[in-house]
Amino acid sequence: MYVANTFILKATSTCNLRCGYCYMFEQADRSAEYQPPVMDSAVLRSAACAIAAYCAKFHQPKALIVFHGGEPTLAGPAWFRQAVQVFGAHMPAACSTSFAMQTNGVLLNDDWVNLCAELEIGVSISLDGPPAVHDRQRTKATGAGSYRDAVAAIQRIQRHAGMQRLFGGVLCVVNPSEDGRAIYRHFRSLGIETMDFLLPVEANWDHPPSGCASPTPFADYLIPIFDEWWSENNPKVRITYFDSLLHLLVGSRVHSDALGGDPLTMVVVDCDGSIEPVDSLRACGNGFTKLGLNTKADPIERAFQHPTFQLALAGQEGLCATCRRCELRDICGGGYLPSRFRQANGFDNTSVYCADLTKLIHHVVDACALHLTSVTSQPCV
Amino acid sequence: MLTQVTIPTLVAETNTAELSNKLQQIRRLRVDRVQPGSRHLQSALETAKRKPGAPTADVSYIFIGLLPS
Repeated sequence: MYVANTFILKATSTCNLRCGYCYMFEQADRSAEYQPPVMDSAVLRSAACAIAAYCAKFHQPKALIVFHGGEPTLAGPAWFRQAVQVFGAHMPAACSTSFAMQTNGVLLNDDWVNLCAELEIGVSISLDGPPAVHDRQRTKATGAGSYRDAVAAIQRIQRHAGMQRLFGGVLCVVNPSEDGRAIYRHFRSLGIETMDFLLPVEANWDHPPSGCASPTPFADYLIPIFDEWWSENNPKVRITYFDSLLHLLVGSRVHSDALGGDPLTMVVVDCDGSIEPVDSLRACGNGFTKLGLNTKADPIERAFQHPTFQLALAGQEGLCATCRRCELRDICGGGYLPSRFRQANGFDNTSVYCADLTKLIHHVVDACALHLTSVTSQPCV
Repeated sequence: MLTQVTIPTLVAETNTAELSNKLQQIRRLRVDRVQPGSRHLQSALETAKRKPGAPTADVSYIFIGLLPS
């Protein structure tokens, strides 16, 4: 039976940045334009009730509520207090519920950090690299960059004793024209120990990545980061993408939308209460994630029957014939679902990043295999 | 413009038997009593031994801080 345990709540459908690669505002999907700017109290209550009812009905032991946007902090501190209170009042006692937020950090002053610490809301901050890299894409409406704000927010969290344990690290969108190793070193110089690198979700077979001389520009960006991280050999430094690869290589399963091909365990609730599948699918077309379901009227599980939601549930069973024959299918799992899209035949394709994923995974396998040679020559402990 | 490289070309360049062998060896680490020097690999192995066949984290990795400890 399908299990959903991660619920992405679109606290806002507006943003104080204009990032060029954003799938909410800058790509094919225009549905954010028709959403209320902030999820109102009635929708928030209906979303909490629907999620709580789902978790109770299917005896979920754990649930994660992720506040997302747009930019979630634009909803304001009072909204967050209310949200945590409403979920606290409705979620079943047997379901351990935690909260997280993905933010650009622009508004994250000391009051916000204190509030997140008080409400136990984990915080991840989007940061693409040093100022010249970050500010190229992540700009305000005025055109000014947001690097200084994002780093100031990170430093506030790092200084806050109660917040440190809730800091989810930074999320960096890969730009293959940049030097991955330099970006990793920059993050480390900021004292960041948890990070992830996200392949641009807007690329698919109708809109492949362009402007790169290399046939594998994303692998060429990621491999130097892996090498540095691997040789640093510091278990406190976590890179989700690489950790996931290692987990998959040793035979574990991961619930990730990027790797592994397990059915996705996440549900999105938009600002108006719409129940939707993973929202990176917005990159595939205008209104692509709209199912015609709403937490005001429909139970969460009704979404799972919808053909669009089924795409996210198919996991490895939804892979194309080429992927199913591939030795690496259990590891890459076809990569991000939207990266397999082509208007002509839907998702019956390899990932547009297949060459990059293949090269990267071979590199990681070789790193582990070199290691095998050294461990097998030593006595077992 | 991105240079087009077909995946079959890449795969053909790879010794698939060798890859398969390496993958099998890495998977066997779960049951071997070895302590690899890579602490990242150690960490993955410890999770695999602690939660065999189960997802490494109870919820999705959409929020990046939620890594198995």
